[in-house]
Amino acid sequence: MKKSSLYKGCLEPILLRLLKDHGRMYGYQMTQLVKEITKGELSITEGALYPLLHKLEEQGIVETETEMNGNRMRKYYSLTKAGKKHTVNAMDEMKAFMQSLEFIVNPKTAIG
Amino acid sequence: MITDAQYESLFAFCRKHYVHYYDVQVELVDHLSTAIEDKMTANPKLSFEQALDSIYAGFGIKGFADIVATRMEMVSKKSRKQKWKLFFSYFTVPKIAMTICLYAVILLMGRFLTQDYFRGVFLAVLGVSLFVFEIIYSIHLNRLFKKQIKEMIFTNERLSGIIDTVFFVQILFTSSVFDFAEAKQMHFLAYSMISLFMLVIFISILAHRDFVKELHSNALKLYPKAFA
Repeated sequence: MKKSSLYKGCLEPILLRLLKDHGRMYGYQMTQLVKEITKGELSITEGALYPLLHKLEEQGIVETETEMNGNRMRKYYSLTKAGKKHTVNAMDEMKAFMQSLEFIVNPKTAIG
Repeated sequence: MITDAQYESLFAFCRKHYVHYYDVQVELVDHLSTAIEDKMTANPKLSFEQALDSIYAGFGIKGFADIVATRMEMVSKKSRKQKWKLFFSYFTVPKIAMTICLYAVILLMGRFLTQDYFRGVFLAVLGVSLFVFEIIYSIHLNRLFKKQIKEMIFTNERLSGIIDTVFFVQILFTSSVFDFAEAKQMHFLAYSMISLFMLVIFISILAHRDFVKELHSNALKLYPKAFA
């Protein structure tokens, strides 16, 4: 199975976690940080990242601001107040999901 | 570091790949330029074009298409929510006071207009005034965007969801409601219902005005370079 299909549904909590820990971030920075943290095991594709960020913005979970650096413009994403609450719930759901997976993948350890 | 000319060429690259909206281009160009710089630092032998091609390949077979389509859908959804929020703000504290006062004044006028045809004439004048008010306001609001030099999905939303007063007035004048309203002495209930309907149209025009003003100030704040 392709690795990308394994974590497809986890992309949202991953992004929320990054934003929670780092305050504000831009798209490319998120892809690189995930690569760095997971030592290259996970890589977020641009085609999945930006549509999700735009969706989260529509839902009021993240907000955006732009900053000029000389002639260049950069768009930053950060969690809104509602987004911070949403992140706590998303993390709890993620933990519960990981625990459930543990029951399936490694039943002995999970029960013990 | 890539040069300013190379950075600007990325906007042309986006346009070539069917990204015509500046608000999407800004994000993609930033992504591409940072990725190109990282790639060229890691491998100094790589040319700008080679680095760009390899990064664009990472966007998959559909290229930028999905990003633009989702952005359009999400901006439209968000705008719709915001328009409704602004519309309903006229029915909650504190703006509801203005709404009630306006309706009370119209109802009070109806109580005084007891002569033949007066209620019907008054409502017709009110309808035409509403139409004129909408046109004047549309011209005024469009002026805000006169200095916009780059097309954005974000600001295109000002053109959607406008209530066409003519359409509603037309319905009103051709419907049986108006036949009833044309009676010598219009019934007060008919008068109050038609005026309530007009008040709702008036409020939707105000809400749309609030939305466009908000949109303009956000656009200026987020994308100052899109304006001359």
